Amino acid sequence: MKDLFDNLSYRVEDVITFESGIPGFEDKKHFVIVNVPEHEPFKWLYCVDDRVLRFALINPLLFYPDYNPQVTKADIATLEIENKKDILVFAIVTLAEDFRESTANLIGPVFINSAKRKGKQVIIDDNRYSTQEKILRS
Amino acid sequence: MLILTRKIDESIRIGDHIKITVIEIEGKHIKLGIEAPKNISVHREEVYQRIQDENKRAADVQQLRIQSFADFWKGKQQQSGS
Repeated sequence: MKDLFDNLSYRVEDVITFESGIPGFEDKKHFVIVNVPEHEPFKWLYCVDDRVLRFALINPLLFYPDYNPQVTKADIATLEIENKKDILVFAIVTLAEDFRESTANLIGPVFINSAKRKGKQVIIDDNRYSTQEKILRS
Repeated sequence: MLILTRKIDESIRIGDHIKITVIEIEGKHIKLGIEAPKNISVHREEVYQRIQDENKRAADVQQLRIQSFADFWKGKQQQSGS
């Protein structure tokens, strides 16, 4: 079957390095963010080490305007953050069979230092959130 | 697995830079103090596992589902924009 990313081209400088991988996929360290206009509001976190691995990302603030995960000293060190403005925050989405039931992982946001192209899925210690927060709440 | 016995205020050291101290014991609860370099993340095991499990579920991205969601989202944006 034809895959969405069969003909994907990307620039080496667009590759984001996740030095410790992503929990559950610790050996996968290189990803690119792909925008597919017809898939908005999602973006894709596509693994260039393993063409089968990809995640759907959203900007959590679209659905949880008060969401403000703390960037710790450890994150600043790992991601080599010099300016907090360089940090992009995404949540990984689990798409349910009924899309209305889809959830976002809000205790494991993905931080990306856009200046250094470094990424990390952090774990926040905040019991207001879970790994499965519904994104459509009405 | 290496098993060590420690008393309150005693520590173990892992490598050159990580130190774990028994701070308090109360019934079944043990408080540990962890000193580690700031680039080392420390998490409760069950939280780390929940993240791993959720990532494995999330990695099964089905394009049809993302398309249904995106179509719905576009409809919603158009509604609120008009």
